[in-house]
Amino acid sequence: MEGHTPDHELVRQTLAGDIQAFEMIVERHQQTVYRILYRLLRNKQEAEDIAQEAFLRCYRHLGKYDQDRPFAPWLYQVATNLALSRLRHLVKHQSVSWDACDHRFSETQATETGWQTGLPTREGPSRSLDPAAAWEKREARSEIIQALRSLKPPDQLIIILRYFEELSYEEIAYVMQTRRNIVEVRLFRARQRLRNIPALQQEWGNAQCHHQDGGVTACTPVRK
Amino acid sequence: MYTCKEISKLLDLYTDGELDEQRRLLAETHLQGCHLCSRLVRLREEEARLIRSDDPVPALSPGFTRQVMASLGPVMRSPAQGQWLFSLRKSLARPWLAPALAGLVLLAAVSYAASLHLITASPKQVALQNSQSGSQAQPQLTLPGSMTFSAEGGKAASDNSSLNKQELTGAVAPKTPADSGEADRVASSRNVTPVAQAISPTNATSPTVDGASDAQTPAAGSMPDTGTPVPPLLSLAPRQNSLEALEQQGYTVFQPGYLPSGYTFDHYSLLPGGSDSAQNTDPLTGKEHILLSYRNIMSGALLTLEIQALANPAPPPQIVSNANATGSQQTGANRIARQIQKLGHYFMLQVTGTISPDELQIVADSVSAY
Repeated sequence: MEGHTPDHELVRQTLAGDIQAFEMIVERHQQTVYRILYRLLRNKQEAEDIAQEAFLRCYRHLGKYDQDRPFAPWLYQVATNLALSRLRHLVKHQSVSWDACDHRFSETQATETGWQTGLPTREGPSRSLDPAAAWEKREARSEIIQALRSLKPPDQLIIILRYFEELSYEEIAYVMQTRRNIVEVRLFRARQRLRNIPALQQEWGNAQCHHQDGGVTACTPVRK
Repeated sequence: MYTCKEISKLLDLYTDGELDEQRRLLAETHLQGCHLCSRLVRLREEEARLIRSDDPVPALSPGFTRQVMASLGPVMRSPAQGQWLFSLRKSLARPWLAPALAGLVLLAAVSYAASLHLITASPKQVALQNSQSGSQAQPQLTLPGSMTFSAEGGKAASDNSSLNKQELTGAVAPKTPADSGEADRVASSRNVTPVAQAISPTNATSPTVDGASDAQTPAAGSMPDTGTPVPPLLSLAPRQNSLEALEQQGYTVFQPGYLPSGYTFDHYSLLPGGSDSAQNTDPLTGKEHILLSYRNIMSGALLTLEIQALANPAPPPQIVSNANATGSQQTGANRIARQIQKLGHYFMLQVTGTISPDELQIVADSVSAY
């Protein structure tokens, strides 16, 4: 029953005073909200605290929610605003640079606490790689993660919402309270930074193709 | 069909599923025939997979929902309470609403100010209105904080000449409300302003004539609508910058560029008519005169410059520059009167002072627009 009740209906019921409906909202969205917050904050406790605060605010201000728009992005907006404010506060009061915000969670911690991937991957990590290949793969991933964490939090958020939550540009724009074309530009720039990782440059270069009579005759990979 | 270069720019949008239908079909057509571009698409997908696959997130603590619901306890009020506010805000969020509201507020403010007689037509506007309507002059002069009196200034249109005569002298004897019952009375009005701060607020014997259509109603109830005529008054507002305020209200102010030794600007006043009875015969509009007074700080002697706007329907095309030294000896003072034009309007300037005619001539020659 819970899974079949649309968000709008739950919101309507909550507004009518049904607290159980709001509990269903929390159940439904808590994992996503928490994942987004965790990836931004890199701290489990802070992510949980802010997620809780986000649901609290969501409840308080549910009357302000525009029911003509999807509910989840609005909830993400509330949560990510809190997280970005928190990061700004850290930068301002603890002399932490944006870039330093990423070193708050180590791979060791992840191993200790156990972890879950954001969304089910299409292919899933291969378990049949030989040790050398696995090492290379791990190196490449490490570089990607470092590059991700070197982005400014708003750009990180765009990457998180696009890659992990697979939100459309329009939805990302709603979450970030900006325009779609701004999202497109920021996402492009964030990707450019990610693609500057030395080990991956040649992989992600472009091809130069030759055309004849309107068709493609030959393409040559371009190594950066 | 797209070229590889074009495809390379659209790859991200393509893999993100953000291309519109037409561009997506064109891209797919290219990708079917270009194995390297297809490979780039696969690399993009691999890139996305890499980014997604290795970002561990610790599990959310069990009991999170319970914590959230428990935290709602202190604020367990219906969130619908804020809904009306949001609905209001949403309904107010219309681009045309803010300017419209601003306009209404402005209109209300202007109406309110007008009701308090804080804003009236400038003398030029009044002159224009009068010339258009063909009625007798109904000068208005109101400044902020003015005390306004009302009385009847005339009987019928046929009495205009005598009415004007009365007005120009500033010696209009206001009639009592009982006298004002004539059907065709022509209201004439004049507000003595505190510019002419010489008028004491308690001076109940200094009425002016209210130009409102309802001449019966005193604008300021505390002041009687009967009393003695307004004498030519001198202002107690010696501030030079008040001349600027006068200018801003549409009055044209002239000042002498030359003053005899010892003379400084003392004050100005607005006169409801000519400064003496001789003015009553002038073809003037009856518009308020501006009287600028300069005082000799040593001897206390006064030098005055009286400025009167003319509503001459056929003004002389050029400035009348010949001084007309009359040598008035009323108070042992000399007077020079001249007509001067500025911006298509004509003014009668009279310089009066107890200085020699030659020096008075110099002062008169030096008069120019403020």
